[in-house]
Amino acid sequence: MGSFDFEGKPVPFEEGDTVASALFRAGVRTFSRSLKYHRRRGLYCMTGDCPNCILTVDGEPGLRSCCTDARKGASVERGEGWPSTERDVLSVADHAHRFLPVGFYYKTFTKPRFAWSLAEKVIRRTTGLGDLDVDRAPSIPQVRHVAPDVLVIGGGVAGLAAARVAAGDGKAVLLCDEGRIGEKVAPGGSLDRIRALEADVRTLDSVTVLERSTAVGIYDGPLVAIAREDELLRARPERVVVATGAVERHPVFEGNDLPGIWLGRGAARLAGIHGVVPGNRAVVVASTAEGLSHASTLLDAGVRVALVAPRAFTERWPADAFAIPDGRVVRAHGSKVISSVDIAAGDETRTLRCDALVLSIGLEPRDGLLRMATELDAVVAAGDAAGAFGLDAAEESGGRAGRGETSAAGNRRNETSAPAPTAGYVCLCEDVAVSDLEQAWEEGWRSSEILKRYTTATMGPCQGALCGRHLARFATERSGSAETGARTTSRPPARPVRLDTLAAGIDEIVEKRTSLHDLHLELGGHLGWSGSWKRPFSYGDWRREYHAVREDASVMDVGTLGKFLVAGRDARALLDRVFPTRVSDLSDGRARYLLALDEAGYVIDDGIISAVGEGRFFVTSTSGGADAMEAWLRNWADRLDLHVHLVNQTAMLGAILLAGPRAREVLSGLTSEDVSREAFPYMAVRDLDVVGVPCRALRVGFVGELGYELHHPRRSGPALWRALSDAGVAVGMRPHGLDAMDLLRLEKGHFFLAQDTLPDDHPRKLGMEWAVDMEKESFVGKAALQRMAELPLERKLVGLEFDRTPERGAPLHLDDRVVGRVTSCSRSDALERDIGLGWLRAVDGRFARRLRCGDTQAIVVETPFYDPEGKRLRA
Amino acid sequence: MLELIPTHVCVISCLASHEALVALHPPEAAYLCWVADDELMLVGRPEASDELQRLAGEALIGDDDAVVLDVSDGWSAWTLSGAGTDDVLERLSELKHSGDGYLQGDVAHVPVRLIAHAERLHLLVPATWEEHLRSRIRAAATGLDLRVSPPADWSLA
Repeated sequence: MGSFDFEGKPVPFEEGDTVASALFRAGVRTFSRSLKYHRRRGLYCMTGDCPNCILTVDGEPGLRSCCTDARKGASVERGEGWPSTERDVLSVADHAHRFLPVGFYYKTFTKPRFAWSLAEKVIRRTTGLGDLDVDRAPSIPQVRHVAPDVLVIGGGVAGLAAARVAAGDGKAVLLCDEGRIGEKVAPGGSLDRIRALEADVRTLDSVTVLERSTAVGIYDGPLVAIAREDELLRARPERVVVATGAVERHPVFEGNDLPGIWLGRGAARLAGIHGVVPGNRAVVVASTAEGLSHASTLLDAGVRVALVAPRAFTERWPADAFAIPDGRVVRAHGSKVISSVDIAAGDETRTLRCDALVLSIGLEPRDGLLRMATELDAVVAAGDAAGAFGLDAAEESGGRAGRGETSAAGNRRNETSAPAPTAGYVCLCEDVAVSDLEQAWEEGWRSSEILKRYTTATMGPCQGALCGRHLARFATERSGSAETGARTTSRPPARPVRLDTLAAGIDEIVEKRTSLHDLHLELGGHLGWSGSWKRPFSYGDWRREYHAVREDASVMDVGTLGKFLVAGRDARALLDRVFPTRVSDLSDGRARYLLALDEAGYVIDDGIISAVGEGRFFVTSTSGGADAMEAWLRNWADRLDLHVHLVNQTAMLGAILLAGPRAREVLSGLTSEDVSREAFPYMAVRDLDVVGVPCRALRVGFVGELGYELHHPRRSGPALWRALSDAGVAVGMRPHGLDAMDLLRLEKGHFFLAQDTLPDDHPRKLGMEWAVDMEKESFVGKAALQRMAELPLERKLVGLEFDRTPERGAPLHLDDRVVGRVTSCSRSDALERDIGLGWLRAVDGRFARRLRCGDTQAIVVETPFYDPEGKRLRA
Repeated sequence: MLELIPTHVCVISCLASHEALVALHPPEAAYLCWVADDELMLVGRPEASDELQRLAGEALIGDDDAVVLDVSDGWSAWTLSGAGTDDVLERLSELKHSGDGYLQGDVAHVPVRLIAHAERLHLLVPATWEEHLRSRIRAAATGLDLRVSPPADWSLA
């Protein structure tokens, strides 16, 4: 069929081979090294449950090679060990258990203090499952949202039966399996039953079968995440049938992690499907009928088999084949691979030479997914996952689940009562032995959950599939309490999942644009993120833009502002009731600044409210606060049972700020309306026709100059901007962006919400008491403000002057104490001073005036810094 | 073949009492969407704005508080048709339509109003997200032979 490269050498593979089976056929026996002690690990489960066969394929680490198809030209390598996995110098750690006890990072390398930082570097370098290529660009797959009536997870007997029955009941069914249907099952009765059911299911139009599709998590809903090669499915079914089968019980005894030790299904799969014997001389320990069948599979494959099984089984074994009745494994021996095993039967212990030890001592439900959904009634188990072992039981169980006759109460099954292990490796993933659990218990970590956290058992790639029950049994036996020894919490992902798969369908920022976006690019605007908006920060020279505002005229795209029309018979009542600004006496054509407070009296937004006639109001908010403002107003309208109509006009209206001492000159040339100071005073609102564009114009002053905020139909934005710009050429107009605006507003002492403010700011802390009418009968937050007015002010936002502009965020010191922080700062060209805003905490009930900020001095001053009487913006 | 058509529409927002709104019957070429109990959206051809506002105003004359607004500028519209339309929607949204009708909800993480009619999907998105939705539709159509057609006026045909 072909070959792939394995650490520089070609390895041939046959049709149907996985990477693991091809490598084993080629003589590879050590597939990995254990996490901590670098012990050799060989193939074990061959079902994707254990960590032993994890390799790096084509640069992708963490792949279970027993479930990865062999591919021509692929590059395969092992990850652990130095200088190589085969000859690993770091395996000396296996002789240094004394220095690497459980929880050693809390105990060893702690003195002197620098020892740990050195040791940590070495430990990080020598552990892990391979190297991730961080320069490789992720290929983020698509996401797909599906909503079948029934989702069946698992394409075994129970799953196929459930799908068939559900489809027969008229349901739309999605069946997913992490592999191909039946690929992990050795030839025999089980595979025959699967094929028969599969043939039925594939004829049904209402069943969609998705192979190589791994359910990695079940969430509230239920929502099930299914990872595929090139997409992530987000499934929201009415009902989920978890038919994820069983894992073979992981035997724990001394030497139990040697290469050459197999779980029964793994050995049978290797021999029965891939035609490769796990060894020539195998000891098979079989406690179940299935185990006996695995032993027969190996015998038929030409392996010399010594059977260790209950007498009822050994009596059925060929007379000329060796058998030990009622025996149990005591210890396995070997160095690179197993060489012998001690079997105790009665009073006698015998040592059997072997090159393979195959263990088939029972099944346990593979219930990691199921245990994520114990609170979800729509998620039920079927087949082995429900403890219904055996083909007939599995099919019957699947049928009932498919029909909806199974209760989710069955998901909360009691665990088995098998005894806890006494020696050997409990957790193969994390190299945790029984002795480690005993030591941790002695140290006082005495429950399954805390043992897990301290020893890291169950936290590896298998996520407790093999070791979780052993941990629980250990804690139960030691404590005598089933609750103390409960299974630890199961959380997604149930199987390893790539990070780029988890990123499927996620939009880091959903970009908003104004209608002037392309125009800004044309003008050479430097666009960047401002919240979720793309906005121009400058057009090349922000200081020139700043000067244009202060000395001539300028335009700015403020279309990002939140904009709302509030209408209806209770519009005025609602706005007067919720805002601390008085609205009851706001006459048509007039506007007021408003703060929005929450019920604790904290500032949540600010804006302008305008009365626009016919009992309607136009409310603006900050760009980032639009959605929250809408929700807030709607919520209060409902709570107060007030009849209003609220239209969010943020998207439908653009807005252009025309500002500067010559702004009126520009505007008057473009409209026939009277825009004089007398006809259109500060904080007035007028409807103007500007070069044929209907505008709602507000006289505002955020930047401290004569300004008109022109709200217009969005699609007219480019034409309006061009008309203003053309008319402004004569007065030296240029556009300005956010960088210039930052200094302009700072000079006026205006805060930026969330930059200069904190979540628990009330108006007094911000020096905004003037914006609150405490004489009003009520408004949102009034009671809280009344209470806070009786308390001393502990912190406030202040204006600052510096010797030299510091870094934004720099701490403010009084002597050696940090008493505040700079939130905004800049060199002011107009004032020829370095100014800023910042937080200042009271010390002994007083606010200091002189402070230190790094190596510069700061003085607290009154704001606004620029035009404190507001003459320019009221021009 | 999958086709994406930038669509010119007029959108009229009608806010009034539920009792008043149920009396509103749009002309054939327009589509009526119930946004909320007290809010309807009429979608029609661009030149139909005045007529739809007039019809809405007449129908709602009994409600003094009614508001009828042309909000066309606030919306961008896209029409998807052809093989793969439902696949694109599956990749962008949990919304499911069974046959013709109106839905509203999250599509590509933005609020969209969706009209399914005659095997076409009309998606109306707040204009601020026009480019975002366009790019997400194109990404979701990977592998589906998408053709972006020239802009066309709204049609229910």
